[in-house]
Amino acid sequence: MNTPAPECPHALMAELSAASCLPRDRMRALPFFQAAIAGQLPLESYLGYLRALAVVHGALEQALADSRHAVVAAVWSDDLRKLPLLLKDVRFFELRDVADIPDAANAALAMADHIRRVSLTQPLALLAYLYVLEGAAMGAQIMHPQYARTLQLTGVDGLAYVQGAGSDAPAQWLQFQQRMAARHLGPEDCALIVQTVQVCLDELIHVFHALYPFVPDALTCLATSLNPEAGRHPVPVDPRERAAALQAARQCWDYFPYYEARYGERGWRFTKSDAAWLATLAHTGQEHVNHQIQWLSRVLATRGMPSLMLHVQLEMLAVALAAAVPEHAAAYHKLRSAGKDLRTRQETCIAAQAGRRLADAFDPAIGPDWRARLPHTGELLVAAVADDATGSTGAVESLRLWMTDAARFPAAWLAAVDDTLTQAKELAGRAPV
Amino acid sequence: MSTAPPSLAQPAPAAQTARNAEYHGYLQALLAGDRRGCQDVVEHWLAAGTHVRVLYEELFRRSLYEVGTQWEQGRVSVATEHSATAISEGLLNLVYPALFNQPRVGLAAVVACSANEYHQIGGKMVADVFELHGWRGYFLGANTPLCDLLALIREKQPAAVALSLTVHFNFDALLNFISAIRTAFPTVTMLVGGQAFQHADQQQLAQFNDVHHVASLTDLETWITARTLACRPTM
Repeated sequence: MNTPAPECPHALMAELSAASCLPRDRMRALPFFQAAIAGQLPLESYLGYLRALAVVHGALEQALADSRHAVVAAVWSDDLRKLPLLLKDVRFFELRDVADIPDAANAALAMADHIRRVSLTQPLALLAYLYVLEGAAMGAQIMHPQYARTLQLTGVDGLAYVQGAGSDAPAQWLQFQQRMAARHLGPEDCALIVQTVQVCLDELIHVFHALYPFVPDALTCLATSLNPEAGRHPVPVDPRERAAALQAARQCWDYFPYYEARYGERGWRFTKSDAAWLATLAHTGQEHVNHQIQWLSRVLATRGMPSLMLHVQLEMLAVALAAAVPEHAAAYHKLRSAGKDLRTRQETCIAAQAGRRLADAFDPAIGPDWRARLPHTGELLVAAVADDATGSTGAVESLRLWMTDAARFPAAWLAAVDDTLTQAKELAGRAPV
Repeated sequence: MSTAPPSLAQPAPAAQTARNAEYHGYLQALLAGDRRGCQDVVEHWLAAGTHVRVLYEELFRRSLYEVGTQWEQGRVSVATEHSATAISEGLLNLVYPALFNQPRVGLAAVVACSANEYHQIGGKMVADVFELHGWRGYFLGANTPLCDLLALIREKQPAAVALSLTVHFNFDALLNFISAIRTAFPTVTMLVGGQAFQHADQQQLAQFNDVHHVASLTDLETWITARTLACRPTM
């Protein structure tokens, strides 16, 4: 059945409210909310709820921020972001090692997939998702006391999302509605938003339906717990391996401050989930490990992370895993071998000694202050050239664009980057074919 | 003279060039999320009598692999990749009139993706190729629960079960599926294929009886043709 198009613009909000009324009633009647009201909601369901919303908000907020649609850009505002609150809550529960509810995670991932498709084909429909999720955040505030009581939480610990904007929330909601209502949309656009609101509510109901009750035997550990944007790749089932992978991720993150400088909090989440995935590879054949790592090295290199970073991470990962689970030390060695393969491949293009000399020459040119801020930059530049020359097309450009941003770096830095890249390209050009 | 139907024969160089140009137009439309533009190309190819398998291989599969490569190189976003898949899946429906007009041969295949495998377009194309050859192709979609798959095999008694695998890290799940199917149905033929097999250790399949790797839709057609002939009553 087609929903009749409302008379825009001001009727849109009334139409959205009417369209969401019944589904919201259905949602409130779900066992999840009944259990929360009765003080019986398990931690797995509550944390699953936060994790699922983090998956959905991760996709939505990225799509909204990237959208070039004028109306979407006019309505979206950074102060509407909920992902930081959700991540804060998820972090609070990290030490408790609570398992995931796969059906809920899959429902959230399907919703995120839909959001990504919509962002390209019908970007205006993103506003429908935003409208529903803003409403859901308001609803969560109403449930705040129940969650706090049931799970014995106090303050903002584990409650940042459901606490939201607190007493400012009604004013923020009004502001958001006014921004939506102020857009001059045609009837077809309004109809699209109304219809998508209904789809979004159905998807959300599906998530809550999966969250409680759940099948205890089906609980597992998913990549989305480490990084809501990680998708569906496997992570270790053994908690010792997970912990070791995170430890190695942290070591590598600290070894290359470039990670944080360029990729920030989102980059850290991907470093964690990637490390966990890499750990799972150790239990497959060496050929498969090599292939997967070569694939990941290309993906990362073309996004500004030369394969040297992956090589270092694999070394750290192999050590951390072998220390945590000594009985599988031989399996973890495969990661180190694959890392060495990456290195060998690079050295066919730029010989180790020549590359080292060139990288070492970078630091004196930039001075001690910048050297301390971004150590290993010379090595990264040389590695990017070798990556580019060995098939990761775009590796140099991706790194160069960031490293030569005059707003970020002094003139001496910019000159040193250009000089190092030029010399590295000369070295690569001399490599035997 | 070639014995292949006209639409399967190697096109003349000029036609090949034109087809290639159309492919690139299709790819641009796909990357732009322009479903209508993609549909125009598919309809044009169908109207020109292009064989369904050629359409699948040279338009759908080729373009999706290209989108995957561009994502790998950081040239397109995850959103573009998802949109391309959704558009391609939708366009498969345009082929249906051609599929279901084929004379039935009285054989059936059950096609599934293993647990955690969410890439279903390859499996869909495989089911369509079975239909194209007069088989009934029952497709269970992405992330098939094993119990549902076993129940359908029990109900339909297919001559073949085809399992599609796109992401290699689901290979163990696939082996579990094969093992469970073999235990429950000792004589059913199993076919496996998909992008993951580019790098999979196919030796692991050797432990199972009557499990075959099918590398392409062309190979699948060859297998289907042979099996169809083998199942005909002797003269």
